[in-house]
Amino acid sequence: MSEIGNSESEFQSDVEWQAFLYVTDEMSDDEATQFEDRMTNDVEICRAVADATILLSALTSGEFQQGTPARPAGAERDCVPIDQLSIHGQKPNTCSGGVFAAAVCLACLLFVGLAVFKSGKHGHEIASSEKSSATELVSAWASGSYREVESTSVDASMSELLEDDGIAHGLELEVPTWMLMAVEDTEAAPKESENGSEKL
Amino acid sequence: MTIDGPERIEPDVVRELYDQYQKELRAFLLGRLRNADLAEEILQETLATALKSAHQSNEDTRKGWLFTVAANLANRHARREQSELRVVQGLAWIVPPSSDHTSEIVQKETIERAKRVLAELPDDQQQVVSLRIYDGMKFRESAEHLGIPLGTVQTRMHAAITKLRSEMGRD
Repeated sequence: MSEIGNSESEFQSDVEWQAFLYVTDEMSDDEATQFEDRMTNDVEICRAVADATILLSALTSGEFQQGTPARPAGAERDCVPIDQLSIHGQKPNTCSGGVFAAAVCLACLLFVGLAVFKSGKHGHEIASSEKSSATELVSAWASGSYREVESTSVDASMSELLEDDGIAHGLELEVPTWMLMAVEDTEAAPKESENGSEKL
Repeated sequence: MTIDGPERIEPDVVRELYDQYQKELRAFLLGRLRNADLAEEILQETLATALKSAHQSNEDTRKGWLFTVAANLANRHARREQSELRVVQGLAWIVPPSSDHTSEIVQKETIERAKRVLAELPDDQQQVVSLRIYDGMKFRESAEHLGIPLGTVQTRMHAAITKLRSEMGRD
């Protein structure tokens, strides 16, 4: 098996070789356990382990000094802590900026949601009423809008906008003429339809 | 820690023991435990034990006594932390990337000498050293890789280690 006859058994008596096998993990678990037990009774084994460790450290440190990478290329990049990441040398303010943007978005969503909910509620009430005629629809639209203006307390800027239009001061809401004309047409239409069906 | 009894050795003596043997003790504990921080911890524990009990040892055999204490402490700790220590694979423990412990057990001159001796070794010996230490191949894997018997790999490695050890001597 070997270049030198029976060299393996010759090595067995070599404590320093055994120590080298131990530190390089070339021993089986049983052999390693036995060797560890011997350490507590034999100082020479302890010293041999120390020497093997020093030798191995010297050889391995030499490898690192030569510039051989200890890790695969790019591995260091994976380990950079998040707070040390930078763009063009500047650390991003990842926390406070993100929180502020999220808060603004949430406030906007809440505001829009509330507005949609309120208008949707009015529309739903009106549309769901089977009895409501087109005239009621127009008046409801007018009064509903007016009430909404009166009751709303969304914010100062919105009130200012309404005041500019004179709505908040109790002025009469002008119903557009096109809407009145449309209502008249709608009220006339069922009669025509009834007449038409009679004809048929 | 205070010295209670007159029989206990002086802290200065323990400091001398530390200066004299800390490098060897640290290297032994690193080789035994495969963990630089743990080795350091057990080294401190060994010295604390020396402060308390070294007066019971013979001055001429104090070095042996220190190693015996360190070996027993390491064994005790290793049995307690068996599963954790078994996790350490290969030779990564030798040079922990974020530790200065290696520089505490091996000097720059020793590293340079080791490299020089390694470069002077016959090619076949350099080859097995390189495969085992730098490429992380076990002897059996090296044998398969080179297409030679396992015993040949061991013989070459033994010759290389013997040469390295004799040329480097003990620091």
